[in-house]
Amino acid sequence: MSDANVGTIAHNDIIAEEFQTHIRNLDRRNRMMQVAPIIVLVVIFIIFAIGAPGFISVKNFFNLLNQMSIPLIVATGITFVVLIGSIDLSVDGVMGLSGAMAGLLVLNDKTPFNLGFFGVIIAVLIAGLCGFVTGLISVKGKIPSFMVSFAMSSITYGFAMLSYGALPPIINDTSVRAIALTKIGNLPIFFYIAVVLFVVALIVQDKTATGKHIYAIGENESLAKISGVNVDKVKIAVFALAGLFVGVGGICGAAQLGRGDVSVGTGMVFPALAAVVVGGTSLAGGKGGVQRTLIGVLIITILNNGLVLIGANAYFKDGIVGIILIIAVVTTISRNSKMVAK
Amino acid sequence: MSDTNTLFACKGISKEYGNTKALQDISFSVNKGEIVGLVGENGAGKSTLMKIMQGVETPTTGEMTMRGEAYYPKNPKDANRSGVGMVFQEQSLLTNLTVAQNMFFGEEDAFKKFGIVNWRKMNEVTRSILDALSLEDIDGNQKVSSIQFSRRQMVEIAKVLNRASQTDASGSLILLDEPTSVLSSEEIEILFGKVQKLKADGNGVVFISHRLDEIMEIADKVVVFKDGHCVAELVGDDINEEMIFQKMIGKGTSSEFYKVHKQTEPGDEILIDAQGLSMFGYFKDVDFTLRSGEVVGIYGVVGSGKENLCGVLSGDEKHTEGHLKVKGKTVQFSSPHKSLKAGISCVPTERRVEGQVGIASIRENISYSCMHALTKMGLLSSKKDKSLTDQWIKDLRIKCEGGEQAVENLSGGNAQKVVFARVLSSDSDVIILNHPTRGVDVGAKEEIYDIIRDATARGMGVILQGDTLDECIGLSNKILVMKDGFVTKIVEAAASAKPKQIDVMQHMM
Repeated sequence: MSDANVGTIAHNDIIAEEFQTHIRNLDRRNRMMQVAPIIVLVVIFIIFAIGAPGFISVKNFFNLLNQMSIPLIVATGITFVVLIGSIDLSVDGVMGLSGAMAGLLVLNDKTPFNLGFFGVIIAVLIAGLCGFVTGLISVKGKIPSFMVSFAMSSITYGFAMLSYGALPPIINDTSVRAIALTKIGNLPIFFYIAVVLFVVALIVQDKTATGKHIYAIGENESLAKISGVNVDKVKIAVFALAGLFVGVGGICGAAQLGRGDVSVGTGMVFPALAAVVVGGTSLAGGKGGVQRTLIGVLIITILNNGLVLIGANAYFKDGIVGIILIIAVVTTISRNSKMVAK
Repeated sequence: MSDTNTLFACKGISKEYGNTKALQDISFSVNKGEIVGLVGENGAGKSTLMKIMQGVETPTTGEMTMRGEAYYPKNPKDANRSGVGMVFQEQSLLTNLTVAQNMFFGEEDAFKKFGIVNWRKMNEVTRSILDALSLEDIDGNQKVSSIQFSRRQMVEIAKVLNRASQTDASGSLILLDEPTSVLSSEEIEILFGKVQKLKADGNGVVFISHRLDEIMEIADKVVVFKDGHCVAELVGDDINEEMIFQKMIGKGTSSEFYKVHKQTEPGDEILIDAQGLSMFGYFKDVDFTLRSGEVVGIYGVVGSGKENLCGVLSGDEKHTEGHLKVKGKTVQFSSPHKSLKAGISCVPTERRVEGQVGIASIRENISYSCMHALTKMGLLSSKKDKSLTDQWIKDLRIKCEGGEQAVENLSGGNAQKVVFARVLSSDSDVIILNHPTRGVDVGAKEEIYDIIRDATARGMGVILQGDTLDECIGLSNKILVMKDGFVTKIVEAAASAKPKQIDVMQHMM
């Protein structure tokens, strides 16, 4: 037996060493994936700086910051949903509903309400409520979030249309319009709203226990549960938080448009999710964060901006974003783990 | 054994899952400053008992005491509070968080001010915890994913120690469920040093390992589990290999049960030829051949690489080195579809999950693997399909109301026969059986053995991961014994000269 033991200890070392190398390689690959979005950002920046006339200019610089503000607000909120391994497809409808509600509740040409900023807050809370309901149904009913949120998008879109009938309300409240029209240092107020919300999200993510619980749920839900985290509560809160962010995005859109039009949300879900994923937040949950979403939003915004400057066809532009999204997903998912949005 | 010295004791613990008795009438105790080794084959109930002690599961009956008080943990947090902590078999650290965040996960309140966590303070406290275990090279602010895999195990132990000893004074109980399986010899030495220190400090330790040399090195008492029973408590000189093996090995079943008289001699045709087959990090340098009419058993503890070897053969996983030839043709499978095409089909371990579609009928389940044989100009022929199903129901004596009955309504044994029908009707030359009789009653087991014997009589080759060692010996012509990713021995098991269980077991533990 003693000879066999000598042999087995050696075996044990060989396979332990191999296994640890295997894990190290996986970790290294993960770390490389974290750098990839920054490289992409730098590369497209250089390409447009050389190839797109007017890309490097003070005017375009402010233009970019302006264009990225609303997508940043929405994508930041959605990031938390993706971090817990879920997905939120309700952006279009919820954003539209929040815009429509704001239009109807502030001074406008359709309703007698004139609630001013109180009306804006109600509209944001309604969006948060939509997120809460999506989370509640998805978590308690154990229904995949993509399905519930997709349905929620349709419900809220329909409800927004019904709320104002044929024509959307025109916003006459100048203080609400000021969110988009008043500029401080060449930038609209909603840019500063985006910055503040981003910082708030960063604090929630990095400075609170809940932020870490969100990461834990995305990585290993059952482990979080047996460690005493109220997983259901955190998940529902995340959906509600995303709803609030999307609601603010809707207000900013309506302020810019001057109408409480449901169309402020139309087509927003795709660039928002694309920004989250392209930035490097894993669709499987647990990896990434809002700082990565900032990079993703920059990539998507610069792409849009640069392609317009070189005079590319708008549909071509959408196609490019789609291709980049697929590349981002293909290179970041780990093929061993299950990739179903919970 | 004076009562004041007893740290933990349990009496009459039983655990049932439905009709399955995972644990029966377990009683044992751990003293302060004692290391108790727990040994037994996979499925003997060791991990179940650990989970009960840690509050992950609740016992069906029985009572436990910790530090002299009644102990009924509702969850791991509860267990920690009573001074019981467990290092799980799979690492349970959150790799996307820092060491400190893991250390205090779910218990951040002490560091909170207005909802904001003071990470710096948490890192400082973590520093002192790590220092106490001489883990100076690890920093509380480091993400777990950036730490070497083996060092993570030490972090986990530090976390468990910290949690279980917060209420301290009268000693904690630390449960280690195979903590060494991913560690190198050097790291194991360090770990053992810590365990000895725990012991010297008056704590109790329960240590599970499949490596007997480790158990013998460190344990003061060895408790042997078999089939959910605690069959022996060994102390002092009784802790030796012969004694432990003797207790672990059950009575062998008669050769008649395994139909040994029908065992066929291997034919001339080589169906599978593996040379230096390796899967990086899981198994290495495996050589063997499977001939027509032969049953090759693969046996070892969970994690010995046997699951991955079967996974490579059935196309679920890829080998990274070596050659695999199926009927003389070199293959590299990328999916089960490819291995099926090469003539290998598989009865998976988790029948209900991987092996069949529960809500589908018997007929549909059988025809999944042989659709091509049932089609006529590209369309399924329902007539052929139906007659095939009826034939199998008759041949394999599947007890059912007819081919249209949903598989989920069948008993375990009959459901397994449907899996066999599917596998056998796929025209394969090789079948891989992963625990073919798990959750199957005795009568159906015998019928399944008959099915296997008939298959080899027709010249098929069988790779078998037996549910028990006894079964593996009874059915196989030869057995590859695996340990730590290597085949440590090929044990011949001809019908006329079946080996004893100990002949196999001494090479796997």
